[in-house]
Amino acid sequence: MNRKVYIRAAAQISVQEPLCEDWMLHPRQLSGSFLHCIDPDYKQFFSPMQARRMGLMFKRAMVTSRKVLEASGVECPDAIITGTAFGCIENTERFLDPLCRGGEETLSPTAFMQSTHNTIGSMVAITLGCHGYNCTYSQDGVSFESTLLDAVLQLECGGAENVLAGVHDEITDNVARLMEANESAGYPLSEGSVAMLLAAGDGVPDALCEVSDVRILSRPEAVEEAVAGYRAEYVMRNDVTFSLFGRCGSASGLAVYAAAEMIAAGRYSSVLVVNESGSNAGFVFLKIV
Amino acid sequence: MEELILELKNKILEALKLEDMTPEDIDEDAPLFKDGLGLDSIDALELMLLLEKNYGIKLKSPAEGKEIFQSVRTMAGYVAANRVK
Amino acid sequence: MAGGIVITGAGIVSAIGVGKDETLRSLLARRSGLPGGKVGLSDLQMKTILGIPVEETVARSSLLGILAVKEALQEAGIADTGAAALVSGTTVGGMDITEEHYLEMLEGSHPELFRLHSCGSSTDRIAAYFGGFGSLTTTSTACSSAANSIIFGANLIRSGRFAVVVAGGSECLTRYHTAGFDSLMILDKEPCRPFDASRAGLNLGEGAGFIVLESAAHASSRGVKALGWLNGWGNACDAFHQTASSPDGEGAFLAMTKALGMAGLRPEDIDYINAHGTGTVNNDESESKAMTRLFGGCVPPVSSTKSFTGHTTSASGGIETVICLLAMEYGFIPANLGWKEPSEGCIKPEAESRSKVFLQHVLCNSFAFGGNDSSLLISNARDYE
Repeated sequence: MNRKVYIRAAAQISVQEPLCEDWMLHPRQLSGSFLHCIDPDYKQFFSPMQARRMGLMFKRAMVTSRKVLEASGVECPDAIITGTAFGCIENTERFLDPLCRGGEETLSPTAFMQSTHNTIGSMVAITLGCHGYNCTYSQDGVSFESTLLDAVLQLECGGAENVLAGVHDEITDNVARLMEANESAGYPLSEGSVAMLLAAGDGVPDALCEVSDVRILSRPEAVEEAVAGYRAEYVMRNDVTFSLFGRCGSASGLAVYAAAEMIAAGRYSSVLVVNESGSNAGFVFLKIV
Repeated sequence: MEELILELKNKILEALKLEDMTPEDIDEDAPLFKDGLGLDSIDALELMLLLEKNYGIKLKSPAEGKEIFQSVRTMAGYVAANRVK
Repeated sequence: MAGGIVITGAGIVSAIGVGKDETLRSLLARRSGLPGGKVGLSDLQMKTILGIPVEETVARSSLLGILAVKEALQEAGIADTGAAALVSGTTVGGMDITEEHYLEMLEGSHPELFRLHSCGSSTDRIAAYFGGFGSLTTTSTACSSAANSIIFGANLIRSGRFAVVVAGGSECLTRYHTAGFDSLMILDKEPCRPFDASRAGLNLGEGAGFIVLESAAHASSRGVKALGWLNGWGNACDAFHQTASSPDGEGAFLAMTKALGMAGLRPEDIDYINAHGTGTVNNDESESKAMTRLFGGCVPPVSSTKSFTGHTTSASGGIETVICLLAMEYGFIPANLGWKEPSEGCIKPEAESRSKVFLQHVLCNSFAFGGNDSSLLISNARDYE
């Protein structure tokens, strides 16, 4: 019998008011073709030397991660698992642009180093001095579900007692234009970061909710049958998710954060977050503790 | 030399993305690596790029940079003696 | 774990061969794929072999991955992947396409090519070739991606969620990461010499390596033979620096230790280590330190087959796992090419290939930038209790 897994704490920086849940009473209405996050003032979190290599996305990852660790009273998690659909786009462009324009001689090693997808997760580990299990997933819109699934596996049978899981994505002008040209609008493109502290056990009293199931289904024809099988009190689909957070790689993570908060507030006893992303569908089934 | 030291400080701040710091925050005689500013091996590579881009000085390896990058003043001295641009 | 996890299929493509047979011949003949590290097939040739329309734009990493997955599935006797999971590791994804068309995409032409950029899209394309999988995802931890795919796949089986998982990694050469490693000044223009006193950096390579993982019970019920057992694994973070490994090799030490612990084995039970061994001054010293910490004065035979294939980055864990399986099946230790002179602080690898050796338990190391360190413990299918 696998151990139960819980979300103890969650924090976000997104197109809604960051690092709080007040926005849930009156969510910002989204408009426009693409939106950046509402960022807190990062000077309160980092010295100039600490911040020097951190683009906005890294800062968001560090701040949200620290927040959930503090809220849970955990100094160093047993595992750090990270998801990102597109990785560090800003740094990728910083390296790719001069490369394509013919400047192979004076390319920035920092930009290259910071452009690999696992930079976020490893930077968090370096900052915390965490030697535990560390992995990064990049599967477009279901990057969060991949991350969460691995977190659950680490808690069920990997020997971890707590896991820091996060999904982080950013958007730049160039990428926004390219993505818009490929997909019809409806909801603005956006960016976002969310971190969660997950724990396992027989009962975690201060938990927001239980993570009853997480899966990625790569058979589009089987999605509706799967949805029905969960018998959730509330099914949260992409139309709701995107209207709250815009379209970004981290959207389903933000949806799970919102669902967890709703369950903790007594709104629902169970929520199924369904995320159809191309040929893959993510399912995260949360239940009241 | 003082002008070059100030110019170098500004270029270092830019190359290493030290936003919110000013040239006054860098002591030209303090160590750049380990203590002092606390730069690391990647910063050393960025400083090598800085020398090449701005002064046409091409170092062959980070090992060559060890003496040169001891402080802003030693950097300035090397640039003054070896600049091509 | 009751029953254990077996490997029932393996596929590989790299600069030393397309498929296991050619790879084996190259290893035994000491025939390196360096300099260059390129797979000897163009995109066009791969599409033709695979029956993919030539006018379809496909990321090279996907093509390499499809070749390796195909070989693995064939060996495992699996025709229907509908209930299986696919876990692929890549960092470049479709960057080969993006870097070629980036400027024109920015100008507004061929924006659809951007759909092929992401890591996830390259895995989707691999899965689509086989008619889809039940579930899939992509790991992206740079040079340990494939190893982490295998670990995740093993955990999926251990948890009872899947009976069959195809796991590994795929990476093609790109201007992007070639220039990237060059900017870090860790590329060697000469063939790399892992653990050698004169080593001066790594050579990049490309390829794909995938294995089919199954619970032992499931493989037995299908009547399929095991190539080997995935007996243990370890993933730990060095947590030292973005691009440098710690002097005491902490992440590497922890990863190998965890793998041994999971398998219930002692250091002296290991018969061979396929090292990460990139040929950089830093990695080889750090990895050696980790090995001597774990094995004391009795470090088992070690070789780095990156001296054959180059450093295939995200694919390396998969490619090197398949090489370990070949080594166990055919009873040899692949050579660590290019090694001539011992280096202070480094282990002495097997410079010559050794044949007629029985390898019962093997460690396969993959260590990545950011300190994402993983180690797989593979055991011989023969005579294993």
